[in-house]
Amino acid sequence: MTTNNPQPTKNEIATRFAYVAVVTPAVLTLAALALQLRWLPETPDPIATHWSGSGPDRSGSHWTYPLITLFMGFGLSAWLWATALPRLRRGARGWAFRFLAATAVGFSAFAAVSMTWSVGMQRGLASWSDAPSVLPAIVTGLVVGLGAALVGWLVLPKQAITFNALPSADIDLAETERAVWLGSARASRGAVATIIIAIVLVAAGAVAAWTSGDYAVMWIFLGLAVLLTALALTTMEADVRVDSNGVEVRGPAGFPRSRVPIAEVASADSINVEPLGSFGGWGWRRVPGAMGVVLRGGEALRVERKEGHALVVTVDDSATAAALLTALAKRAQR
Amino acid sequence: MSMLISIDSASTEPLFAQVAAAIRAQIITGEARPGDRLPPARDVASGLGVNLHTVLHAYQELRDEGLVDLRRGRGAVVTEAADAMAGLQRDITKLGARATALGMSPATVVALVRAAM
Repeated sequence: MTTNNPQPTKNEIATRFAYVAVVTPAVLTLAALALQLRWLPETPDPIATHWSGSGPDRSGSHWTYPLITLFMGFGLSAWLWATALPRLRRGARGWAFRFLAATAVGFSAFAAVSMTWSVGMQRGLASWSDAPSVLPAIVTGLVVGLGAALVGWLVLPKQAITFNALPSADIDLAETERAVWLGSARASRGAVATIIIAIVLVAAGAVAAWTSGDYAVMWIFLGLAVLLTALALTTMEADVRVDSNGVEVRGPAGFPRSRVPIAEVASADSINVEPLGSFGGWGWRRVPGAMGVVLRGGEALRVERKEGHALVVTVDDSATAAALLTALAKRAQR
Repeated sequence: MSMLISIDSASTEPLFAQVAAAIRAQIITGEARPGDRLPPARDVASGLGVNLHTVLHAYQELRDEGLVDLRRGRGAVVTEAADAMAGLQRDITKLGARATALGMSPATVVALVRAAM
């Protein structure tokens, strides 16, 4: 525990994150909801909810607006409050926290302004079809949203990625000894199940669109299914190999691929990886200073190149892999 | 599932036997569990800088001992027999500890084990 030696900046970053990502969006969303609920009795029901170039072309219950405001304005914030904030409190750091917080506050500002404006401009109308253009509401919402995101970004400090080092192992290699370490990084069962369910749902959507003759929608669903399958293939599994040539990470089909030749290895160690904080999510990810093959949270092999760019792979038994690579790199220099 | 395999080219033991011994050791200590797939022979061969047939020879040796199943398309899979072997390893560890506590010499214990077989 570090309670005896508290770092003042540690909680300050979490507090600022809470203000930007949770408190401000909550205040904006509540204010927007209060205004909308006050105006709702004066608006037509159904109310205009969709516009084409010339005017409103679709309508819905006037409760649509407060509901969308709630979900858009506080959905991401609620998720960050539940997942990112506890991790920040525990000391996790990463550029993605800053990005996600700015996105959350920008999103809620956009939702609050454009949704409330859409409700306000339809007060006193006899029918939804009399609604004026929605363009001013959207444009103002975008400007305010981007402004809020920028302010949120500037309020939060720049965070370098920090990793917690894990216990290391030691391997001694005789001059005549040859060794290889082979491991595979796998996504958690939950993640694999989620991806498969998503693919099945999207494919079912494509079939439904096909049977109802909506071919444009069918192609969109099909494209999405192909994209998800490609994503699944690259994020479910990766093979890792450490030998006298260095380290290589390969996707299931031999692609994507990333390697560090033994002559370029500066150091190798075992670290703890926080997918969201350090890399902004899962998969093959390039962030400032590192390339990550992040298929799950937890232990990972980190290989520092001599020119500074690191390769990080979330793989079990990473201490053994790091020890072998260190021993091989040391011998290659002799 | 991960696997560290090392061989010594200065050793008099054949390379295939060294590869088999490295994998066998991980099966017996329980680091490789039944159902685990051994790494593709091609990857082991290129990683160690040995001929592919050397590694396949090692895998066949392990199959003949009943420790792995070789199936086309699925590669080499550790069998249920490995669990029994790992259990034996635990018994041996216990036996060693008890014999040491009783002050018996390793040679005596080996002689007793040999007599029991």
